[in-house]
Amino acid sequence: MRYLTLMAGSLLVSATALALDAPNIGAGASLTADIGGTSQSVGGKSYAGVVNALGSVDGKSVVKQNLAHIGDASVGANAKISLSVKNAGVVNALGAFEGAAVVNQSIASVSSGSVGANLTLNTTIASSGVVNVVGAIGGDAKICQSIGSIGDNCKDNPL
Amino acid sequence: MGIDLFRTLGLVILGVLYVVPVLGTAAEAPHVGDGASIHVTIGGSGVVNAGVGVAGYANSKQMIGSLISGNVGGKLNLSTEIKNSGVVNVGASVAASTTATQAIDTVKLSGTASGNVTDQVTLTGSAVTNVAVGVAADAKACQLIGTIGLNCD
Repeated sequence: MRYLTLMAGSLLVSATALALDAPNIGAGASLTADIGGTSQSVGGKSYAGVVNALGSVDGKSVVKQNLAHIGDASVGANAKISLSVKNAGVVNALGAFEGAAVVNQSIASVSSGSVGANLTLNTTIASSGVVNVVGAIGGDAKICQSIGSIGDNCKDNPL
Repeated sequence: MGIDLFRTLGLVILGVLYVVPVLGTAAEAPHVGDGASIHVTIGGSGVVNAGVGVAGYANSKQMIGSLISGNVGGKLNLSTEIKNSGVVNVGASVAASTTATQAIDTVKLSGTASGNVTDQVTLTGSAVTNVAVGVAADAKACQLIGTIGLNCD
């Protein structure tokens, strides 16, 4: 019986550790991303700053870019996310994506998890571009872009 | 013996009760406490979701300054200001069986906001385009700006 007790205790500890894999942040969290710099030439076009995937994909692919983003985390009160994109661009996928593809760009957003009171999301996009996909998209694709939003727009249910 | 059995069962039940809800909430729609403020300013540059065309059975969704899903416990303040720049969801055409949805400052696509909701959109010298070129048969192009609810059902 003591063995069973130890087993149950171990199960509890292991499962609790698993559940705590998602980050837990206390009150007053602050995420600030300031993307400055100057534009550069990529593939004959002028992009710069932050590029996630560059090239072409024929098969099944998932391309996700998160900037100043809370996903699947527990965050306390007074959390503040600030994103400023100045003289440089932000690109998630630069190329052609054929086949089943998920191309998801989430900027200054909260996609899941829990956040305490007084959440503040500030996004400023100045003299540069923010682009999710540059290129052709084939069948069965999801192209999702969320900026300064709460929720996950890449799930089937919301839209 | 009876006490050990009681302890064992108690631990197992406690473990299940503790672990299942925590795991169950992982990756679900977000919960935000009382008071959320979202402000987006886009000036002098473009925001593009899909730059070129979107072929069959694809979905292109662009959300800016919106409550897409989840729950906000109290006041929700949304404001989006777009100045001298373009916001484009799909830069070219959408083919058959595709859906192109663009939402700016939109509330409650799927979720609740229990407090006061303030929603303000300012467009100055700029264009907001959902689908830039053509829409084929059986395709949906849905644009929501400063709205509550869905228009793409």
